[in-house]
Amino acid sequence: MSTPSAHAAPAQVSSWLELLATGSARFSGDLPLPPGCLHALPAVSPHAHAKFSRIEIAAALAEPGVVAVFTAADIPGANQISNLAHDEPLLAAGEVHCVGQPYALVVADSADAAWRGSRLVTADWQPLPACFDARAAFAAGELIQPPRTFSLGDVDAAWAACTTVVSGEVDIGSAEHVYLETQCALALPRDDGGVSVHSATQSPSSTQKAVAAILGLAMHLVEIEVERLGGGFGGKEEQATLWACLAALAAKSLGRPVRSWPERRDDMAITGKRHPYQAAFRIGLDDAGRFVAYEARLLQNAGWCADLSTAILERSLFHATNAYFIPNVRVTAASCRTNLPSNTAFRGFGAPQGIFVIEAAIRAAARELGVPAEVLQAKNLLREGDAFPYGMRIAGACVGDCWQALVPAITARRAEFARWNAGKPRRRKGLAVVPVCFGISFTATLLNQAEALVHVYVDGSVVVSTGAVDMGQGVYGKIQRVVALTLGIPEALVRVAGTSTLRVANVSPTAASTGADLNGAAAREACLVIAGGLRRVAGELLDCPPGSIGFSDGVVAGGEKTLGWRELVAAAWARRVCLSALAHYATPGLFFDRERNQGQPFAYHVQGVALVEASVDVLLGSGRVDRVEVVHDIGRSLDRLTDLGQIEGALVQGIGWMTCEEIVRDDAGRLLSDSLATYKIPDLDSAPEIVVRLREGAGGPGAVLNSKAVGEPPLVYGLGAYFALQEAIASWRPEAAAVFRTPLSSERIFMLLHDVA
Amino acid sequence: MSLLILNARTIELPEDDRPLLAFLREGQRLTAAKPACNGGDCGACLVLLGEVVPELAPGASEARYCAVNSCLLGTDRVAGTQLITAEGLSSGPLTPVQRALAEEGGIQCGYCTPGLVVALTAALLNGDPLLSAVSGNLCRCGAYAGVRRACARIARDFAQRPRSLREAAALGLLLPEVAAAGEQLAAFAAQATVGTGLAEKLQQLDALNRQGQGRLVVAGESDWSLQHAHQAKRELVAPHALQLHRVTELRRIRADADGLHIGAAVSVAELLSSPLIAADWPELPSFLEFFASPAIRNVATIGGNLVNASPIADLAVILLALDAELSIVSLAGCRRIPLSGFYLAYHRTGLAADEVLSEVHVPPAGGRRLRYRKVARREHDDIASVNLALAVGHASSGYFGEVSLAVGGVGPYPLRLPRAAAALCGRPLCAATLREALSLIDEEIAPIDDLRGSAAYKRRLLKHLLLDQVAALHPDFAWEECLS
Repeated sequence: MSTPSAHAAPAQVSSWLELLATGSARFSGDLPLPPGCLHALPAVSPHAHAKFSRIEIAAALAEPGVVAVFTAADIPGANQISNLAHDEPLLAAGEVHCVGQPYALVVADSADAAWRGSRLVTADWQPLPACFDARAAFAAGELIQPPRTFSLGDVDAAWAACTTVVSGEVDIGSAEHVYLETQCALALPRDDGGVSVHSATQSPSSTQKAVAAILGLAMHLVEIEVERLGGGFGGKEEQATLWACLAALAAKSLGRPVRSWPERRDDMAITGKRHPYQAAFRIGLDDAGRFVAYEARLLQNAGWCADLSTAILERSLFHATNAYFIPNVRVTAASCRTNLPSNTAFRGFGAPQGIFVIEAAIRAAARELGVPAEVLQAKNLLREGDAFPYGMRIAGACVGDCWQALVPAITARRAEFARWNAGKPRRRKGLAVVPVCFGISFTATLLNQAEALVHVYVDGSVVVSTGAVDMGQGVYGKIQRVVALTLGIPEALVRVAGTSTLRVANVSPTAASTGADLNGAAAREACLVIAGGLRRVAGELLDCPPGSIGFSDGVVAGGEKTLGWRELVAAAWARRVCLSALAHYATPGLFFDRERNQGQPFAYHVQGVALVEASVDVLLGSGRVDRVEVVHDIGRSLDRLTDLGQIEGALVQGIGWMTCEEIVRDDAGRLLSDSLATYKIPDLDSAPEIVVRLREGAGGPGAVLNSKAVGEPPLVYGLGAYFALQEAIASWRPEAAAVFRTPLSSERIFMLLHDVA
Repeated sequence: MSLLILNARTIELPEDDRPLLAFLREGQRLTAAKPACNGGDCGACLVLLGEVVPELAPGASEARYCAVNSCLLGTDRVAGTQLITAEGLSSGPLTPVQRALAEEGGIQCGYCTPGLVVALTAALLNGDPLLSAVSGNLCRCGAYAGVRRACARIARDFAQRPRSLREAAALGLLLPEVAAAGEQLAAFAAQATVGTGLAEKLQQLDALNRQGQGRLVVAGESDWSLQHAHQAKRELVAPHALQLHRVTELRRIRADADGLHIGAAVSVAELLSSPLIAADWPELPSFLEFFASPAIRNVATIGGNLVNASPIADLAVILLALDAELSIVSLAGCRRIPLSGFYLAYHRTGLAADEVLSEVHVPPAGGRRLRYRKVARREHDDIASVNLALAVGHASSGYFGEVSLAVGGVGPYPLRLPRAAAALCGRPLCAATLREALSLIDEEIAPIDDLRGSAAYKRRLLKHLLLDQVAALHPDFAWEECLS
């Protein structure tokens, strides 16, 4: 285990990072606009639920600069952009289901004119009743799919064996992605009737599929290119499609380039967010403090259509027991249909919500027993071979080791804080320990595949194309390193090309923390194919068996002799040996039976533990996360600085969700917190001191070059912000320990402290 | 015709005022500055603005460079200045600032990076602390730990700040040709059509009023742009806006026997760094660090903050507690009124259509101390839910002296609380005194439910803020005894 520092940084900054550092890196909105380019923005519903029969577009068309207005009737193909459930029209026809749902598209010669025009469209609205609350939707039977249950053991029988049983309720708030680059797409019509779309999407192929369907084209006529994303966090996995389809519809219909690029307020008002959850739990323990039984009901607020909600709900179920072994479990979860913009993927993909509930249950039990939560947590951590409720057993369990590494710090802080709070100071302190055990793989098994195309050019330089999209998580850098290591050449010889559906087809979204694992493995496979051919050539040139040839740092060695990489490549080409390869990778051994909810859904689990320290000014109610110490299982890191950054960044995002970030709507469902003036994300000052220790262990199967996935799991550490603040609050007002409702904004903290009616 | 030095080139500005960020990105194809929040809340669009400001120091010819939000300014605002975008800092090899961010993990998706680089470069040019210089730069990837490491490295590498643009270029902080262009700024600014006098502005205002064009007087234009962008239907920037920020008379801070006289176009950053302000009110600069972000403070003005009439305007609340007065001028002459009589209703002031706020007068401290605090959802760079300023005179031990109390967020405009203040004046410093003042506060305020909090929260929080400030002045004060 070691503490990374700047010294762990690669000696040479990659050209990718250099582009970002100088500001010359092009994001979708930075692409030069082609001559004659138009701008498209949707007109959106002002009602949470309404029928309409007529759309008034005359005023919009009369607005200077407006070129055209499209409605559902103008869509040449299928009016459908949903990837999974086929329940989401591009433009509403006859009925809208949330405020912000697009029902017309205004195209103009400037973005400002499109913005003005979009406000001038209206319809003969006939408002209908709307529902925004998951419990109410559940009671009304408004479900996206029938409830699902994961179970283990016999919960009903197990309660009798419990000496302590505690129940409670949980209310988990939403969060806005605030990718700093708003959604963006630029569509270019082509002479063959197809369209090329530059889209800021995490999911090029589902975007391609939707654009093709909207336009009534075969997929081979639609190309999606992705430069890079200015943040995604899941918000551009499914919901980038809308903007690509809007731009493509206008471009194809008008025969002109069209960009659709909403500003922040429109983006926030129209796109979906993290799913709020409402939950009820019951947990039972024996007299030794072991968890015997756990039961929970999770109600997910899905918004008006399915989007990815059912997959997100499933991940809440997978992670409902977090990093603990509980022999008797029954967790039921329902995806509830409400009249909100459809909620969508957000880093963690439902797992953090499921984990919050069990962590809340543990706090409730600890309060009942009068012990610190960490005493119970430590007794129940997963051990090698323990069963999850989904048929899998933990392999390579190390959460206990991570915990042990933090025990001295936990013990010291616990004693220190107890002393501190005993003095009844104005600033009260609290701590929380949060373990994580996060399954890596798409839970939809079919998505666990990837392709990579590698070309070696005759000068020895290499280009690799995969389906991975870089959104700041450093996946390009990792793929570059995998290729360089596999071919034994300097990284500077390897370029990772932008993502294009023309070079690599049928790609899975860059999501579920799997980008490097899947695409890196495919790139490695392709390199091994090319290296196989080169090895035979080198064997001939160096006069030794091909199997004994080594590639390292641009030098090819065999026997006593060596050969330059470039020399070998030129020789191979001259001998008509293939220098390109397209390889496919599918994570082995995965399956899941959704009838029984049993199987092997994950390639491996990422584990770790965080100690979160917080304090609260009890007079003013202002809270602060002061310090976080993390021990995190990383396998063998391909890029320590990137991995460190992912842990630090995910933690800050998780803390924001638990504290200052709050989605506020009025009674009619209109978003009030619709800008960064009213929706506050963490800033430099509010980000805590973070100390990370990377635990370098075995990587496990499926982790590329044994470097484990890192994008999502550390977000769970941020949940500790809630429980640490809650403890600090409870030191002043003990009743607050029973309240599990996020976020702990300064107002909420104040109200908990002072119980204002 | 207005000119601008854009990085190393001198260009003509468009005739009509346009949003600066769009002008840079679309008109000039300089796309390093990013649109992200479109409201001055994130810093992704920062550019360096270089100005020669002879108004502040007569005869000054050296340009001052500061980071500003290009999403909040119009092209008119930058006439006669030099703008340096991230493109003007390097043309290939990384600057030390860029290198530090890249190598210390301060860059993830990179969308906020050009803004961070501009903010840090500005801080190096001005000798400002690095961490506070980037306090308004949001990074949604959350790479703040990396940004902190980068700041630490830059601070190590630049123990001394460059004393000129040329020196900064020699240190690799920006391109030599950009620095060379900057050296011509003084001569260039003298030629450019800026720096009109107040009388001329009043005549222009009069003419606009006669033409029925309505009144649109702006100084820093940071808040006006914000409202314009989202509410004013996105018409082209109004051609009739009257810019006050280069009016010499309005840029000065003076001190005399009557106290401080602060020109209405003095920026918050200038207030924050003014030795005259600090001499009378040593704690005021530290309070102003909670005013918006550094980049906003560079353009937002004291006059703008007052005239804008936000119910939670930081400066209005502070100045009310200081018993400030305002000079208001028109072609007819000048009148002077107390700030406490300036606000009439929600976002409405007593400023007539032909009038301009010219100066703010703050009486001498005379032994008074100022306290100020705001509570917001986020501690820095956020709008207050409730804010409170307290000015207290000297008193014998165990007693309150003179007390002046002003608050924001609990009424339609910033309020003085004379009855609560009177309940403290000269009274013993004890729980009973405070409890009486707190009960009077209840009668003097009328908070409403809004995005900044529920009325019940704001009502109770305001009382706690008073206790907090009394505790700040008297560490032994037993605030717990005053809680109901």
